[in-house]
Amino acid sequence: MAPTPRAIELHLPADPHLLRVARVTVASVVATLPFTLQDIEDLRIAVDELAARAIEGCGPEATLFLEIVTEDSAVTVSGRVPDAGSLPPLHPVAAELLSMVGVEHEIGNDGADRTFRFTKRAQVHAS
Amino acid sequence: MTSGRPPGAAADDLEELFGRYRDTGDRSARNEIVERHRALADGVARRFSARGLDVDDLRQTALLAMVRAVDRFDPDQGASFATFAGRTMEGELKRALRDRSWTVRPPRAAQERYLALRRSEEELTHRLGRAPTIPELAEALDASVDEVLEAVEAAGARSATPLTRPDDDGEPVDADAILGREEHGFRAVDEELLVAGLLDQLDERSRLVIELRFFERLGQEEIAARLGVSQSYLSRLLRKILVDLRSGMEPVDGAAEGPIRS
Repeated sequence: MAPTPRAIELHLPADPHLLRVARVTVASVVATLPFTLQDIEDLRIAVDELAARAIEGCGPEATLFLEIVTEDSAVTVSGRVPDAGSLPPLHPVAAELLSMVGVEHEIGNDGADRTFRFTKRAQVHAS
Repeated sequence: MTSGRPPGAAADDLEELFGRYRDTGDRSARNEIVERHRALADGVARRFSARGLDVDDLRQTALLAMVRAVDRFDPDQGASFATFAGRTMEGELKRALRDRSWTVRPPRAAQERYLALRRSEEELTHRLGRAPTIPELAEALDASVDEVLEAVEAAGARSATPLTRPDDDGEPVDADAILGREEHGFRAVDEELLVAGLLDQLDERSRLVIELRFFERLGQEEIAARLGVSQSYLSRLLRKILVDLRSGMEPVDGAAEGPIRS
């Protein structure tokens, strides 16, 4: 089996339609880790909801920077949208979706940048 | 929320929200659509709660189904979103409870890939005592990791298309009533239905254990806590239930392969 890359970087225009690229990329990167189908569904929801909030209100001229870092049994996804300004309020529906997926996440501002980060650990340990 | 608006304004708003979501992907529009129909999701979840599962779990399943329904709703098909979302949620909740069938008919190849994946997942879950990883599934299926991921994507088609379409008068009609025709080769689906029959033979607690473990994907520790038993006892109980289920399947081996009406 080919070694899993330790870090993947992805730059996308801040277009909600392109978040599917982020979902597929995250799922593909962790596919060789000991994650279950449910874990991957959770990851797809988490990256989708957090990235969607991070780019909300930005035009497609803004850029979403994603970094996906894998360890033996965990993946950490970090996102940044430079100069995007304050985050919009978290919609209750988005909050409920995030609460379902079992990942601790952070989302906020770093100066004028919007940032988020979460880590998902596999329930199955790598052998 | 809609007080003071003229009649029809809410529907117009909804149409505008769908248009905005489709054109821009704006999640605030999607979230607003979901929020407006949250009572519908709660109602559908409550209807399924009599089957022994936690109503909060059902609400979450219904909410996820509604989010997917927003993505897939096509107003040109004639049905209202409430109708479409209701059907989608019901289908997803039935699947969660029984995991027994497809609510729609995706292309045969995608369906067979996904069913093979699910069968393999179940078999490996039994054998390993835990949910399998993607590489383990790929190895069991003699497929690449990419092909497994494609099958996961195909799972999105489980409730992907409207279940109603307009008749000559523009009234929504159940798609099953229109599309009823002979389909061959759905034996795999029939086998999935077999599971539902087997589950019905279990006592209430055993059925709950199976549903929590394999349909809700809870870990043994969490199930044990819910039932108020030790994890080691739960593990033994689970093994016994699986043995009983397996023995219950033996008489149906070699069942007829006649066409199945879809």
